[in-house]
Amino acid sequence: MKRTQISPRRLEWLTEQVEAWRTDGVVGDEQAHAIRDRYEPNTRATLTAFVLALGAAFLGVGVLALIATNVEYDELSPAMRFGIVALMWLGFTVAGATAPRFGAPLRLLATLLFGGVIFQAAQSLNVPAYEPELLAAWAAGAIALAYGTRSAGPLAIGVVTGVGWYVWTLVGDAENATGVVLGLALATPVLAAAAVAHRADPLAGPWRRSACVTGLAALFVAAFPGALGQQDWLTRPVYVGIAAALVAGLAAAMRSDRRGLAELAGASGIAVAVLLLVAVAPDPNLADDRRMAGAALAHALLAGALFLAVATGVALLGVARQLPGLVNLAAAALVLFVTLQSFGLFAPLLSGAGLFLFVGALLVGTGLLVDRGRRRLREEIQT
Amino acid sequence: MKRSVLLALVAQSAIVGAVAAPRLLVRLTGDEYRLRVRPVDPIDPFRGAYVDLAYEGFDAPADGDGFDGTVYVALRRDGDAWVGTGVVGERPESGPYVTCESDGWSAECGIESWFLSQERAKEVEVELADGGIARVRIDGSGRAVLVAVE
Repeated sequence: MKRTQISPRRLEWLTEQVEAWRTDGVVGDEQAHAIRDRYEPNTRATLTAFVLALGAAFLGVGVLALIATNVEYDELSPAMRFGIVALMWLGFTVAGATAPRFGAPLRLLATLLFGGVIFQAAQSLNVPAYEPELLAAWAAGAIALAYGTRSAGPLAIGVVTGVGWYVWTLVGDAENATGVVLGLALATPVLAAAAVAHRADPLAGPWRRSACVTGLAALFVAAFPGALGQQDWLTRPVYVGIAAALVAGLAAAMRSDRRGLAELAGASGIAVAVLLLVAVAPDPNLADDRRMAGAALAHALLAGALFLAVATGVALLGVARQLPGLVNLAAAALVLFVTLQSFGLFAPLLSGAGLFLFVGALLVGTGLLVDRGRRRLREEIQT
Repeated sequence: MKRSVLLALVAQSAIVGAVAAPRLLVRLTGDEYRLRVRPVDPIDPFRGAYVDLAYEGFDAPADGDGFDGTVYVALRRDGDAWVGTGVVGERPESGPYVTCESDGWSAECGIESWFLSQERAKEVEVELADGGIARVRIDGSGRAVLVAVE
């Protein structure tokens, strides 16, 4: 039987759907396998889509950069500049919603241009600099467009800018990476709850991928000695984040199956673990340097062990949800983690060529091991 | 075009309106004051170069009394311009004043950033080295919007 070629994303969606049908008893194991076996990914279509999305992203970032340079043209008043950006945003939004082809890159561009509209308005009206609420406004608009057009691209931008806004509100008075780590960790259960609440909806994808990235990133940063350790870290945004995580988690749990509950438990576990790590982080102002270094190393080792556990969890989630992208994400995070930590750990012991030779050998070994594990997990997904 | 897309567009327009309207209203309806200022020039990652303005008389009291949450700066005339009379926690009963938000360290009154091109920001820093005049519009509740610096 000749297999039908479809885009990998559509195949991912179909695989999720078939898995949901199988779980609900709509189709049996054999039928589910037969349906899945009729299709294969078309990488050429993916390449075209990738190039178009990349082009749209470059155009959007170019417009944002142009706004940021604030070039003064005598013939273009701030109001006129705002009008031009707003017209571009409206035009690309309508084109993205109505175009029979290439809608996805147009919607991506429209979402970036919406950010441009926000920043141009703020610039023209001299809204004080470093105002995180502007990112929140961009996130809200991007998410509105994502659900209006049922598009993953705008949703991904909305989630990234939304998390960026929350992290920014926490970073304000931070002396080290505590604010960043807390922001990423507390965003994780909220994002996971949104993913679980979507069940088999394709828009669950960006929420789920973002939850995995924020969870991994939070522990990745926490595992560096001295990254945490701040007094008075229980600020109002932290309480708001904890409350949001609780409400979102409980709401999602009410309409979740066992697999979703496990996902929620994992994401909540990351947030709780990071809160504990921050709470027990050694005080950077400790007078005794040797005790301080020892405590920071022990703390970083604990965070590193938690990172490895989360990376394993993300890979297993990829297998359970039939999402190969998550397995690749976990593998890439592991390799990056081992590389950076090796440099940090062995730099005081080895120098120059010795350090590079040792870390290079370690990295090759880790890469091969991780790739072997990744292949096995991907085979697991495909059977 | 689908109804959901139109709804998304309406929501996005409302968001842009919510971001712009408060300042636009003050700009259109507020009274104009000329305040004494001094500049420095940092960069905002999304909106580029700007001149950070420090206003004369907008300083916190030395003991920090009343310097948290919503605070106020009453204005008094000083020659051809206006200057602040210090940050206080009580809304002034008479005369023009600016409403600010304080985090306990500094008061933000919404008029600290003047966005310019990078070249112009450098020129302005030199031009205003000895201070300048900011044209600010202020509405009845003390909300202020920066219009220009000269």
